[in-house]
Amino acid sequence: MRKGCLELAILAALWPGRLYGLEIMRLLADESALVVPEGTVYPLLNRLKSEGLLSSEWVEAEAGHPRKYYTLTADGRRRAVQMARFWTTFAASLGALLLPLPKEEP
Amino acid sequence: MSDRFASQTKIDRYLDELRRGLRALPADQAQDIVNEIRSHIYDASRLAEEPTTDAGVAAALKRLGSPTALASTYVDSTVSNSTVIDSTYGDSTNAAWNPFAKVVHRSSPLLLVRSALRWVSLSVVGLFGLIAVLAAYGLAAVFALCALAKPFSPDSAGLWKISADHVSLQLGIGDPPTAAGAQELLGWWIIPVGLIVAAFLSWLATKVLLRALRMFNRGRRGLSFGFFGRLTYERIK
Repeated sequence: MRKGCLELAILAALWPGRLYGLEIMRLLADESALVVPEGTVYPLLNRLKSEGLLSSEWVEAEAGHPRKYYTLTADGRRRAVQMARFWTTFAASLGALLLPLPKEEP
Repeated sequence: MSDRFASQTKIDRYLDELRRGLRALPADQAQDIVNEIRSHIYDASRLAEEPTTDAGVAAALKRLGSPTALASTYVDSTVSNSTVIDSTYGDSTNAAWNPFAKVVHRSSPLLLVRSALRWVSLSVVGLFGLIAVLAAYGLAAVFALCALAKPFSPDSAGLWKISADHVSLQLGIGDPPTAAGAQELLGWWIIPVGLIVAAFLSWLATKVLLRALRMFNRGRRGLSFGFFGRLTYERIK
């Protein structure tokens, strides 16, 4: 999978509000069956932050240790919309191409 | 209770190893990453809520992968800031946010400088390496300046051979050499040649710098870190 797809998935996961790393991974796994290793997600979050698409804050939790929450910045929201638009167009055109194919294996 | 203690030691070792791998990054950024991974390990192994099981911590650490590998993923993506610029689908104006676009490594000058400073502060090879790279940049700048100054002062800008038995060359914008056998070598050719040499030297210096930094960041520059790093990690597992 191209890195860009994972980037889009993370930006989309953060659209409704702030989440911390583990929550993002759980959301991706539950909602879209995307099981992405921690070793990929955390460095990617760090990069998206350094590109100014995300911001982060430490929040004290009841669990007894603080958690690092990520939020989309204005740039991040813009990028998410652009990528989503691109993705939708692509999926639709690919869908048209796939129409002639049988639904099940013959 | 002793179980919890043993698990905590494992976590600390993992994080120490991670911190060592992140030494190429600015200290505040490295600390932030270490804190985040610590928080993740606590959550993932439920250390904070339940009486911990050694197996829970071990599983969480295993899923994270080796601390050295994790650190180099961080450093690689920060030092050479991957930017999507090339498009394999759609037209090139889409490239910036095209999920299918190729990821191309581009370096942000600021991060390069910070990383280079860390390199120098941590190793002798780094110090000499950086001096060599800076010398190459300096020479490139002199060549470029000479080429640019030639049209304005044709007599004093150029590449000079000072004397037949001294194979010294003078590359300058000031007064032309006064020695008897002084001879200008390139004439107006200094303009194209100077620019090409300048471009080549700065390209080469950048290439060498990037390569050296990448190697340094991956911790392959010496035996000590990599060797003991791996040794420590084997113990953790």
